Amino acid sequence: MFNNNKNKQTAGDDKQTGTDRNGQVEQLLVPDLEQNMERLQRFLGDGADIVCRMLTHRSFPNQRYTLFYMDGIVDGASIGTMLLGLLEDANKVTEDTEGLYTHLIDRSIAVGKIRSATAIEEVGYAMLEGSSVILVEGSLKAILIDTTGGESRSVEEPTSQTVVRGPKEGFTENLRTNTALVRRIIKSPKLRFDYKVIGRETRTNIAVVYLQGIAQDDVVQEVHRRIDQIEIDAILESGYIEEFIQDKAFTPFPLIQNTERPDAACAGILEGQVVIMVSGTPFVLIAPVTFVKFFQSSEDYYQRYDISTFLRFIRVASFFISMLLPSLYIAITTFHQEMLPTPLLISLAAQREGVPFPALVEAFLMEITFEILREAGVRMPRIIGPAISIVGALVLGQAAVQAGLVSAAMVIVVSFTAIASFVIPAVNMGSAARLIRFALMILGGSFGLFGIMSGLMVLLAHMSGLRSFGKPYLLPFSPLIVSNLKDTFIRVPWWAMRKRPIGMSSNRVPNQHRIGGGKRPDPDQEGA
Amino acid sequence: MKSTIRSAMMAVVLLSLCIMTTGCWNRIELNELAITSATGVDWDGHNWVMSYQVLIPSAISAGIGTSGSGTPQSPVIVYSTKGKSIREAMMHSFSESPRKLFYAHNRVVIISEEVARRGFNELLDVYFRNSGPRETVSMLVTPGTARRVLEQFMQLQIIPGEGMKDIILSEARNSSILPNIPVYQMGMNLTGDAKSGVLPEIYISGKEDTSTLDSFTHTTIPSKLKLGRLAIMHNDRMIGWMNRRQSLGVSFLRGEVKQTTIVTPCTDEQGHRGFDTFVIQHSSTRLKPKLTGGKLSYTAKVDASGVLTESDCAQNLYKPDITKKMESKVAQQIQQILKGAWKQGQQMGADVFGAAEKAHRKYPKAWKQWSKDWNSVFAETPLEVQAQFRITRMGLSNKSFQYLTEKDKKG
Amino acid sequence: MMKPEISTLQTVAIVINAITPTAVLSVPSATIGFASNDGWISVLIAAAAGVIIAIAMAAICRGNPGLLFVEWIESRLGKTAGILIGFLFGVYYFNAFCMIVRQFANFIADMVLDETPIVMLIIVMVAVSAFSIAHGIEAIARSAALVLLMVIIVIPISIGLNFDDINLKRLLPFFDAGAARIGLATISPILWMSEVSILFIVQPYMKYPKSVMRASVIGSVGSSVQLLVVTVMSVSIFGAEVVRMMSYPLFNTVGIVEVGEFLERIEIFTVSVWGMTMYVKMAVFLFGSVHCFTHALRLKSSTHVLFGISMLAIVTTIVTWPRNTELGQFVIVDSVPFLTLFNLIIPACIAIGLLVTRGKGAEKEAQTP
Repeated sequence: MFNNNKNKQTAGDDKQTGTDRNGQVEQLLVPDLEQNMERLQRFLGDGADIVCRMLTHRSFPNQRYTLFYMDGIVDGASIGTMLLGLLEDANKVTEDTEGLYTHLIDRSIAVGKIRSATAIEEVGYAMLEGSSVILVEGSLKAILIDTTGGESRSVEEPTSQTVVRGPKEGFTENLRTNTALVRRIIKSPKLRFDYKVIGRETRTNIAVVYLQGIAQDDVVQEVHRRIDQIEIDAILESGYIEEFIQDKAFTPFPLIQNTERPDAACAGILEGQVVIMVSGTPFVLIAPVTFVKFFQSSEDYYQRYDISTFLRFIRVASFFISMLLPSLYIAITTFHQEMLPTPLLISLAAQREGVPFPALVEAFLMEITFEILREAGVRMPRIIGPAISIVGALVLGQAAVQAGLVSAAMVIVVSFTAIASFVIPAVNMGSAARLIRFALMILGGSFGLFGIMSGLMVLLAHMSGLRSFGKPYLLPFSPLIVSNLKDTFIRVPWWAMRKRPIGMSSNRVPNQHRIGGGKRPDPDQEGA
Repeated sequence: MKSTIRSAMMAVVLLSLCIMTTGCWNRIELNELAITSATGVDWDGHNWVMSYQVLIPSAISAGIGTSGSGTPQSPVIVYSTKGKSIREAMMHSFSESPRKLFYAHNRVVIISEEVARRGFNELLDVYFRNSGPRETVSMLVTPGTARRVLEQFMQLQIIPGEGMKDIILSEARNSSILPNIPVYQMGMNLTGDAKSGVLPEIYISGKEDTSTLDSFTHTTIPSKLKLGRLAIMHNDRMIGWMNRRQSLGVSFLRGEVKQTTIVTPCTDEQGHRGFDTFVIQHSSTRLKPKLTGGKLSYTAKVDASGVLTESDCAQNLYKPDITKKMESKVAQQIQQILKGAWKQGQQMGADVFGAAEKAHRKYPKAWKQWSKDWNSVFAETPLEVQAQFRITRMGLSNKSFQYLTEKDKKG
Repeated sequence: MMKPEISTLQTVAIVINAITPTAVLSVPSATIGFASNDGWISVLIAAAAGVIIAIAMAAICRGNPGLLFVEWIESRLGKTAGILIGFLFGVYYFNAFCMIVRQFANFIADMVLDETPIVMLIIVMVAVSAFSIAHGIEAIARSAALVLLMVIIVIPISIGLNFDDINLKRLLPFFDAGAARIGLATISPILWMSEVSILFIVQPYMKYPKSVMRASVIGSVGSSVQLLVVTVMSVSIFGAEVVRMMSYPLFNTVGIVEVGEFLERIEIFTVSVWGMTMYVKMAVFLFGSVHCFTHALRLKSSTHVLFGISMLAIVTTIVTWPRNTELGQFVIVDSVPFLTLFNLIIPACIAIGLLVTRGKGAEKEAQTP
């Protein structure tokens, strides 16, 4: 809304106000430097971090100008160079205000990116984003110099998605750094960054990144459309955006993927996905996404395909374990005891002697205990960590069993479920499994396996109906696209994945192939 | 969008309704179950007497006789209930057991000879009608009361019911004299064309009972559960026994021999008499009906192969004609076993060999006539046995020990 | 929202899942009951008949220029006929839905949850079906395809596990039962196969409506193969006599599987997969009912219709058959004219009507563009 301000051609010099597009009153610059300075100070709330430096030109001491910037969000080095350039500037200047103004722009300011502005608001907002401003006495235009900088975290190894093999760079909170990380990987002129600003108060910068010609045009348009519809005061993290632009409001499943890893984001971009970067968070969004994507780690593509396939199966199995195991345990031990092998049944029955609660209640107690422990583990200060694990493992596990509060088997089931839920590479998919687990436990406890089956049917119908930016969530299984199955729960060798996923990326023929045919390693042929 | 919200709400409301009303229904906790490992069926003249061997999980998982504190507890208890019908008898168990009887882990059902002779249609009906008890339960007949069998402890196996199943499975696999007959197979046999079936016998060898844990403080236990003869059923009623040799014949004719041992007498040049023992490792029997001049006859083609495991005669096993002789002796033996069983079957009037199905399949038209009185047709049907045996290995020694010792004597 | 699109494969899945789930329950008992060990021959004959029916249905469907079923009938046979047929089909699918729900509920009660009130089971089933419907025909179609995939995985596994027990000689002698009994036994499977008439409802949603013929034929062949496998397995494992007294031979066959000492009683997994197919079937029929009522009566919101019909179905299902046995009677005897009427006679009438009005329809089509 505010970024739509356009410099208006103002009719008269004495006119101090204009109106912008939205009809809001806009303060224009006046020739009087003091007045401009005062108005700017007032607009920015007279903060102590506003630095104002009055300067004169060497060869023209009567002509004053001021340098404004916000301390802390500007790059000290550029300010320093710029100041030096301004102070040492001894060139001759024509003696009018416009002359000094153009001179400064053309010859004096030692910073790459500058532009001009005519309204106080525009100048103010630019300063809030880290620009420096030069107001020249008598000039109706201010010079905005991009000196964005200040303290920010350097590029570090991502903490939420670690790999054994693969790049160790992670996105940071700085949007510019993030776009640079992507640029550095994909050095293609087709790579597009569409910038937007969202948030009335935070004015958060957002970049929509995609490869033109490979991403589907309608998907890109849809992403733009949905982002443009957002109207909110603040965006603090990409999660805000995610909830606004996902296809369905009520679903436990994540419909947009997020990652901290530039390589994962680039892999998505190269497959025709659109990446949404949000300033202030290292987590970028990737859309559209399918269910299987959440079980793929970027490392899968760096390791040998056989182990990657195996690991993917492990992950899918873990997902189902973490979703189903407690409910299956409840259903089988309270409804279908005939399914257990006799020795196991006897040992479980012996453990349950004297346990006061029904299996369902027991499972709920233990699951909730675990969730509390887990939450405590995430929130507490690092130093207390070992204490929690001792209390959790010994007191709640072993002691509870010894005291006869819960059966040992239940502790095993809950622990295994917990471990399995950490295997899923995407944390948000793990959370989906966690929530569904509780619903299935209730169903399993009320109707046995029939209840679980009904629950799974509901999930299946629900997932079949889900879409992510128009793409069916269960692609490529349903609807079935056989050639896309190469990179799902299995991963075939790179030389066999000749095409980009059909349906996800643009269908234009020249772009479909990413690998030439017959690239399978064959040393004999080479020799011949 | 709106519709999905509404339906989701509806689902949530219905589900929470379900949960709130979830009282008990089918839910039963593990510590509310009385897991039976074996069932016994007796008949007292008017009532069914059902006996159950119920497991005590804590006693079993603690292990018996181990150096635990306190007195060792019996792993199972046995109790009986009476009723006009089987299910009524089972129902009466609720008035004496604190836990609900649970049959899905029942391994064996033991019927007393009395019940077997009276007929046990009711039992089969119970098994096919209810989803709790399983059709894969093995059936066994005992000459005494079934309850007494359930009361016996077993060596090496803590749970006697499980042990009985293990014995019958191991017997069927390793000596093939008695088959393992699950309930569904009994049902199939009795409803088949011949309306006849067989059941293995289990009995207590020894006078005393091994029903206290004290027995296990000695190296010899006072009595043991043993498998014995083969009970022959016809029209859901037991009509008699077959001895173990005949029983092996039945197994051969039914093609159920997996592995068995055949002993043949032998004589060497010195006139020493002994026995050669062979383990048959592969055997297949093809029982074929033949209709010649309106007369039905059967040919049983036995094709067996096995290993010599013991030889008591001084003979040089390298000689092909000796091997041939041995093979034909085994074949003869098999032939006799089969004929004996066939004859016994004919005498008893029970076609337990599956001959009726074969005739039905091959001569469906003539079968319509025969089926009216299959037993009389069967009683006059001759059996021709063509047995073939092949020794695959002589074992690790090529000459018998006897051969070597006698050679020394001569020298 | 864009128009839902169902691929050919998904149509096949819908057809198979609309036929087999209930058919595998009753067909083995019915055919073996009449034709003894020749039951499989009856199934084969029924399969041939089923394919012919499927071809006929598809041929009728191909005349549809892409309109929804009721709209199409209206455009060709007039408004009254359209409303009448739409309404009748709505009633038919509603009845069929109730019957399937009750069959499923009875089965679950017989197999596992005998003490759970059947009302609860019915409520859960109807709720799950209604929930699937709320996601639209596309979601049903996709679920159907995935469920079909599971079935395709489960069938070879079950055969493999039962391999030792299968004795194909039990199928001998052929043609023992006599032509009359074999013929009688084909009625039940043919009627089930005729449920391919669901294509009337589904075809307008297809992505490539012209491939309806392929979908229909593959679907009915697939269903027949399943029925054949189940029938042959039942007979070759238990023999014809024992199967006659079994209510659910399919599950007895998987019930006897014992893999070592640790894997037994695994029929519950087969039951679960079968239950999934059952849910798809319920969803498809409920969809048919809602679809027909909504369009025939020109109702605006299909959500309200769905809600109303679901509630009505719960009540109908409970009240109509107070005893489980009455349903058995209904399924075997009373449903024969019922199924014949709606799956064979009415489609035939529609076909005749379409032939008669072909010239007129063609004119109209010519005018519309």
